[in-house]
Amino acid sequence: MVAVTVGPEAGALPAGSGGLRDVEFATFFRAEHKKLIRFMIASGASDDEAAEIAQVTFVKAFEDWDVIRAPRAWIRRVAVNELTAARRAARRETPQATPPEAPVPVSAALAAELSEEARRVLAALQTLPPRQRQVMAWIIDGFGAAEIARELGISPESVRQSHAKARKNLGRFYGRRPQR
Amino acid sequence: MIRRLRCVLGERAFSGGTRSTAADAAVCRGMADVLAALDNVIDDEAALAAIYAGIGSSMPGEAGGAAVTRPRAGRPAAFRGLLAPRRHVLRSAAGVAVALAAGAVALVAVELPGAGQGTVAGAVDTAYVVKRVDSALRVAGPGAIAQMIVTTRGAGGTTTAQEWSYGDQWRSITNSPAGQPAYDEGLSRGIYTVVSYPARDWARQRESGRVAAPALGPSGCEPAIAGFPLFPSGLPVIDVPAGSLTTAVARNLRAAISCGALAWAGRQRVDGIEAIKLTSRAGSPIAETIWVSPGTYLPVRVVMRAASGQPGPLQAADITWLEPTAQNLARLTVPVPAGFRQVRLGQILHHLLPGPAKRLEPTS
Repeated sequence: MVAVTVGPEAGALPAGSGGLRDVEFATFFRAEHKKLIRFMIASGASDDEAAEIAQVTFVKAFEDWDVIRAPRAWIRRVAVNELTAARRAARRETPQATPPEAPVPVSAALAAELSEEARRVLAALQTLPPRQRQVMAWIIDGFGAAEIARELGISPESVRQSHAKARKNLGRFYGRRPQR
Repeated sequence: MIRRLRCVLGERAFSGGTRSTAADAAVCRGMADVLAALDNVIDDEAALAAIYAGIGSSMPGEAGGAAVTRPRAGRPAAFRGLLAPRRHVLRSAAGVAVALAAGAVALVAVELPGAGQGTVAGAVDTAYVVKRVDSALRVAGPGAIAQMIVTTRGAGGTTTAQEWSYGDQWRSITNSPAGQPAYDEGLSRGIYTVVSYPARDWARQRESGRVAAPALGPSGCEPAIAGFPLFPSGLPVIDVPAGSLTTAVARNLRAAISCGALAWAGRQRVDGIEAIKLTSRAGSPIAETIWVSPGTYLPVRVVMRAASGQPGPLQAADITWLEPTAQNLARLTVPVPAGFRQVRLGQILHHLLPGPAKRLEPTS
């Protein structure tokens, strides 16, 4: 029987060279892994999707580690692209992978861990239009208007406007449903 | 500047030229809580180990420590269970079909209620695995080329077939028991091509559009629960709808998995990875075992045989999921060797499989 190959035959990862490169990557991974998952959740992914995409993204980051100049922005950009591609692929088979009326799409495991405030913020972000939500995700992770504009391919002014609208909408959300 | 708007998670909200609002603060606190919750369900070390496992390298330790080759087994009990009681805790991130591009291998370990403190139970939540496999198969279907080596062992000896499928395209090379190509067939852009090597002839015709997949019952689960075979017998084109053999296998696997016909059966090493093993439930007339990559949740090996005591062949498929590169896509094309004679499809199929060939005659 022919041996099983997990993953593609082509495009395999280079063998780990160890040393500083690996340590540097591992340090970055440990600092950013969960933040990337949170970023993806804020961007509209379920936590399952977010974890999967984060894993793929970091594998790619490892492959390209030597040439990535701004890794924090890089992983977020790649992760968003992965999510877009995954959604597109899913749509080809099922018209709607996630029902629009679905509650905050988190697994039972994460749901059990979320505080009420965390649930509310995820619900609040879900009410935002995609662009505002995307901008908020970047802002929450500490990126500035210029960086966000560069990553999203829009002007810094558009980023500011989206952020202003997002804040307004979030204010309405929290005003409409005051915290207990 | 929005730079000033950065959300300092904790007490201070972002405030970008305008006054921070209660909503800003709520967002900050909420997102900090999300991160804290993730800390309880995501194991960075396991995910990182998976990346290094995927490249066959050891993982560097924290803060310049010694390299480690195994993921952390679990957080000390003191750090668990402080929040709401939970049914299980996912301890790692995992890749799915999109991980195909990178070949990542992630590790999954799920704690079950009552598991020993400080250890990760050696059990995986079947429902969780089933969900991930189902999702992986759904996404992988249109996005990756499935390559399968199908081995059939029976009274007539052992035969092998190599198959690829991608979307509506597929190709299958069936070898004789002696290991020589017997026939090569495939469907591309609605054109079915078959080459017979023993007869040195070939045929081509537009797909008939026949759909002969076994009918599903009201719930769609009856065939899966009854032990619906994963591999159609005979020529791949037989009983396979307009898609492909591999598509059919993926569909049948999804049905078997989503219908609860398969149950988690532990871990087993398959060519270097600790694959997740799923087997048919007791009483199934057909014994199916599927090994799933813990990184992609895609099946990497499937074995099907008659249930204990029943006669029948054993079929095994080793599955590789390929990127749709030009080189890999070329595998979907059936080449017609020089000097082979073109004949009618019925003629070639009759020669290859006298019995079922009639079923392959055009229906329109």
